[in-house]
Amino acid sequence: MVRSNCMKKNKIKLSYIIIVLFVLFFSILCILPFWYVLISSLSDPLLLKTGDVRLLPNGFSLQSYKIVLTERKFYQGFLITMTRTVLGTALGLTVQAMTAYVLSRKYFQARKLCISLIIFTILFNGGIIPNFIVVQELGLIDTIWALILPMVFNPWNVMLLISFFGAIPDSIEESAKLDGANDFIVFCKLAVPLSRPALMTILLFIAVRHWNELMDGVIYINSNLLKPMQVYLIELIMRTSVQNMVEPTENFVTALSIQTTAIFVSCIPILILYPIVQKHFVKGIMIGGVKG
Amino acid sequence: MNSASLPARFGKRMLKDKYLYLMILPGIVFMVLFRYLPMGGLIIAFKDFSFRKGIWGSDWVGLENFKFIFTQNPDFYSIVQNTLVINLLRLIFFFPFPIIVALMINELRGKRLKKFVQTTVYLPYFVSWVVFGGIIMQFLSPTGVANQILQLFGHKAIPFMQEAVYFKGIVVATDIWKNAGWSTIMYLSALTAIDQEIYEAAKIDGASGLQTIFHITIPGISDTIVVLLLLQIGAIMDVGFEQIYVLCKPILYQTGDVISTYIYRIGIGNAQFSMTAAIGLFQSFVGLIMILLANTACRKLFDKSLW
Amino acid sequence: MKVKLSIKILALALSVVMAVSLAACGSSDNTVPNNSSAGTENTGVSNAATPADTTERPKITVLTNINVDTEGTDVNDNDYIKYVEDKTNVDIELINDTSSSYTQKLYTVMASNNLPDAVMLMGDTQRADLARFAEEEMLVNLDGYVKNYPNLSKNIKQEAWNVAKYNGSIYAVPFQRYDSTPYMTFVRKNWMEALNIDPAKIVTIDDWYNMLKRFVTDDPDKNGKKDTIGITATTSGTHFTNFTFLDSFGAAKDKYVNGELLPNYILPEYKDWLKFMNKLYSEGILDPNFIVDDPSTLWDKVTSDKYGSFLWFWGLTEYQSKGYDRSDYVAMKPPVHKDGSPASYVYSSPNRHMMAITTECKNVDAVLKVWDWAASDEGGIFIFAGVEGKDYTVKDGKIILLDDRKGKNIGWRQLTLGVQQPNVDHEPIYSILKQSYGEQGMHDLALANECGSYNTLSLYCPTFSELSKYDFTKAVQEFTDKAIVGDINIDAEWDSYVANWRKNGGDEKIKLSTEWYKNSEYNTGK
Repeated sequence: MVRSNCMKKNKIKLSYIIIVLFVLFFSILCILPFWYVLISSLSDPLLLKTGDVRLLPNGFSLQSYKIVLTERKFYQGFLITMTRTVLGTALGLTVQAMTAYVLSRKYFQARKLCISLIIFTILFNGGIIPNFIVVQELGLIDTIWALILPMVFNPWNVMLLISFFGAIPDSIEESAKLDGANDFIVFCKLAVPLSRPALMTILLFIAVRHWNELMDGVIYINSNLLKPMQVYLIELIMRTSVQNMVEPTENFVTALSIQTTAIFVSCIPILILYPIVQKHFVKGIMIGGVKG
Repeated sequence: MNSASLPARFGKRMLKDKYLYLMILPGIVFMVLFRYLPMGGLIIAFKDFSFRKGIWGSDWVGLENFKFIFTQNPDFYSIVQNTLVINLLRLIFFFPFPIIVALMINELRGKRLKKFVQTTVYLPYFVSWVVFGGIIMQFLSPTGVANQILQLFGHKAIPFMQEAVYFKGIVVATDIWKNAGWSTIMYLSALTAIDQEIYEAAKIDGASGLQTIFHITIPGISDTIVVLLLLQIGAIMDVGFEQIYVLCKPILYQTGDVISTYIYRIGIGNAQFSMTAAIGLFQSFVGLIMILLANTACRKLFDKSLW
Repeated sequence: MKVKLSIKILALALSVVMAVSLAACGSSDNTVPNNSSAGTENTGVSNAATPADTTERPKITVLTNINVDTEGTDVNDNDYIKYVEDKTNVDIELINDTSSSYTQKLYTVMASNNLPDAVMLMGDTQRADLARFAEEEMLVNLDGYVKNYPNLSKNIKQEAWNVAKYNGSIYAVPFQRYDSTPYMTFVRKNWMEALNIDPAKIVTIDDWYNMLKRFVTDDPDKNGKKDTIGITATTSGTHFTNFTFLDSFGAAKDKYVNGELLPNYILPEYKDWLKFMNKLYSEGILDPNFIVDDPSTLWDKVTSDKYGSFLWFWGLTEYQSKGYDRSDYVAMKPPVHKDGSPASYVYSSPNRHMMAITTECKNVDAVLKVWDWAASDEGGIFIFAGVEGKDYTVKDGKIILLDDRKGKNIGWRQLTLGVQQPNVDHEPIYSILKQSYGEQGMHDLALANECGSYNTLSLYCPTFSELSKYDFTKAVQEFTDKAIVGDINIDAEWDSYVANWRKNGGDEKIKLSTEWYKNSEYNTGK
C-alpha cells in the first residue's frame, strides 16, 4: 500500500517537472522578443543595429521616447484612442454579449438562421472601398464614430461567446423563470455574473483590438485632430526613415528605435488591463447552486 | 397542425420571446449595416471597376475576372498551393499548441509561477511583424546567431531565408512563437468554467491526472475548441499578409508567395479592385464549403457543431 | 454584476467627458466636410495673430503625403503654410496621409463622393494612377492652362512634363527633382588610400572588379583578418540598390531589338550582368546577406567599417547625422560600357511625384497660381532657404542661413507646396543649397546629375490598362535574386525564364509597347 503510493507520487512528480520545464522554456522564449523591443527602444539610436540580440541596451538613450512622447499630436492621438477604446468596448461588449446570449438559447426560433448569417459575415467581406462607402453614406467620415460603430458587431467574438453562454445549465434558467424572471433579467442577473471570465476575456480582446487598430484611422479620418494614436505612430515611423534620407538632423533616431518605442506604448493598455482580467479567471464560480 | 395557425403560432412565440428578440435587435442592426451592406460591394468581382462610375455603375464583365484568374494566370495555382499548405501546417501544429499550453498552465501549482507564465506568453503578440520579422531575418541570416551556433558545431552556414525547404516551417514556427500565447487566454478562460465539483468527484473516484485531463478537462472546453477549429477551417484560403510580406523575399516567391501578398502586389500596384474582389470571393467560397463540411463531420463524430 | 455595471457606467461617463472636451477644443476642424470642394478654413488655437480675411481668398484642398518632421505643428497651421497662403493669396487646406498606405488612401478618396481639388500621385504607381484617373475623366486636362503659367512651363523640363501626359495631353504638374538622378556609388576613401588605388583610374568594369576584389583579399582595414566585403546592396524586391553595374553592361534600359521593344530584364545584356553579379557574390565580394537584409540595415553596415562601397542617395544625410564626415567616401562614376562610352546610374523618373487637379475643382487657376509661385525663384528661395527671420537673414543682398536651420525642413516646404523650382544651378538658389550641403555635397550633386539618366522608353511608354492584371515583376525579381546567389545555372535557365515571361503577358506587353514605339517620337529609325 505504502509503496504503491510512493511510486504514484514519483510518477506524478516527473510529469509535473516536464510540464514546468516546458512551460518555463516557452515563457522565456516569449519574453525574448519583447525584451529585444524594450532594449532597442532604450538603446542609443546611433549604436542600434537591427536584430542585435543583447541583454542590455547598447548605450542608453531616451531619445526615441522623448520624440514619441513630447509631441502634442501624440496626446491628441492618445485621447482619441482612449475614447474609442472605452466607448467601443462598452458598446461592443454589450451588443455582442446580448446577441450571443440570445443565440445560446436553443429554443430561440431564429437561432439557426442568425448563426448562419453571422458565420457568413465571418467568411465574406466587402473590402475596403465598399466599407468606406457605407461609412461615408452614414455620414460618419471624419467623426470618432467611424472608429467605433463599425467594430461594434464582431461575429467572431459572438461565436465564442455563444459557446461560453451555452455552458450555463438550463436548470438555473428554468428555476429563475419559475420565479417570474423574464429573459432580460435572467441575462443580467444570472448569465452575466456566471460568465464573468468569458466576458472579461472578450472585453480584453475588444479593447486590445481597438487600441491597436490602424486602417480605420487611415481610411475614415481626414482631419489631423481625430487621428488615433496608431496612425500617429505609423506616420512617425514613416517620417523618421524618410526624414533621415532628406535632411541631416542633430537628434538622429532610426526608424527601428521609434518602432520599438511605439510597440511599447501600444502595449500599455494590455499590460494594465490583463492583470485585472486575470483576477476574474477564478475557477468554479459557477453552479454551486441548483441541485435537483 | 393546420397551416392557418402557423403565423399565429409564430406571433405567439415571438411574443413569448419578446425580450430575446429585443436583445438581439441591436446586434442584427449593426451586422446588417456594417457587414451586409458592404457585402453588396462584392459585386465588383463581376464588374470592371471604374472610379467614376462607382460600384453600381461599373460595367458587367460576368465571369471574366474569374476566367483570367483560373486559366490565364499561371501563378495562381502555386499561390493557392502555398496558402493551403501553410494553413494545413498551421491546423496541425499551431492549433493544438495553445490548448496544450493552457492545459499545462492549468496544472501548475503555485500562484506566482502560474501568474508569471500567464503574463509572459502573450507578450510577443504585441510585437509587430515588421519588428518581429526583422529579428527573425537577422537571427537566421548567413552571419546571424543561428548560423554562428551551427558553425560552432562545425556545420556549414545555412542561408535559411534563402532556401525554399525551410520557409513554410519557419512561417509556422514563428507564428506559434508570436501568437500562440495570446490564444491561450481563450482556453484559460474556458477552463475556469468547468465545474469544480466534477473534479472533486473524479479525485474521489481515484482518477489519475491524465485521465482527468482526457475525460473532464478537454470535454469541458470542447465547445470552445470546436468553435475555434471550425472558424480556423473556414479561413483555410487565407494567410495573413504582414508575416509573409516581411519574411518572404523574392528569391522564395515560388514557395512563399500567398494569396494575400499576391493581391497586395496587383491590387495596390494596379488598383485592380475587380480582380482582388474576385480572388476574395474565391477564398470566401472555399472557406464556406470547408466549414460546412467540417461542421457536418463534427456533428457526426462528436455531436457538436456550430449550427 | 454590480461591480461590472458600475465600472461600465464610470467608463461611459469618462468617455462622454472626453468626447465633450474633444469637441470643445479645435472644433472647427472636426466638422464633417460638406460636399463643396472648398474645404474648411484654418482656425486653430494659435491663430490669433492672423489678420482677418478682408476679401474672400479662394480656397483649395489638396490630398498630400507630407512625411517629414513638422516640429510639433499641424501641417495646416504653421509658419510655412501661412507664408505661402499670404504670398499666393490662396487658402490651402491639406489632407495629409503619411502612413505607408497612402495609395489606399488615394483610392478611397477618389472613390468617395467628396474629391479634393488636387491630389498627389506618388510612388511606383503614379503613372498608372494618372492614366487611369485621366481615362475616367476625373482629372483636369491642363494643356490649355500651363502656357499661362510661365514659371511652370519654363522651369520644369519637357522630359518631366512628358511623364505627366496621358494620350498626349498633360494631366498633372510634375514635381521634378532638382537632383535629376539621386544615386551614386560611394567608395571608402581610406581603403583606397591603404591599397594605393587612385579613384580616377577606376574606369572600366574590370577596374572595379579588381578594386573590389582587393577590398576582400588585401585586408584594407589592416586588422589582420579577412573580414571585409567589397560592396553591399539589397534584394531586388525592395529599393533595388544593386545597379552600380547595370547600365555598364547595357542592361538598364529597354531596347528596340529585331522589331520588338524589349524590357531591359529580358535582354541578353541582363544575362551578362547577372553572371557578373553572381561572380561577385560567389567570390565574397558582394555582401552575402544582401538577399535577406532590409534596406534599413544599410547604415549599420556602412558604419561598421567592414564594407568597401555601397550605392545610395547622393545626400548621405544619414551618415552625417550619425556624426560621420561625408569625406570618408568618394562618389564615383559608374564603370564605362564595354565600348568605352560613359555609362550612367539609371533612375526611374525625373519626377518624385505628380500633382493632379480633379474635375471637382472649382478654381483651377487658384491651384495653378500656387504651383506657379512654387516653381518660381521666389518659391525656390522659400523651399531651399525658408522664411526670412525664422530660417535665414539677408546680409549685403545675400541670403545667409541661420546655423541651426541649415538643411532643415526643405522636405517639409517642398511637400507643402507639392511643386518646386527644379533648377538650382543659378543664384541665389545655388549658394543657398551650398550652405546646406557643403562643397563636397554640391560636387556630388553635380556628379549625380552628370552620371544620371532614365530608362526613357520605359518611362514614356503608356501604362496599358489591359496589362494591369499581370504581375510582371515577380518572376523577374525571383530569377534575378536566384541567379545572383547562384541557386540556378544562369545559362541553362535563361531561355526558359524569357519564354515563361513572354507567355505570361510578356508577349502582349511587347506587342503594345512596340506599336507605341513605332509611332512615337522616340523611334530612332534603327
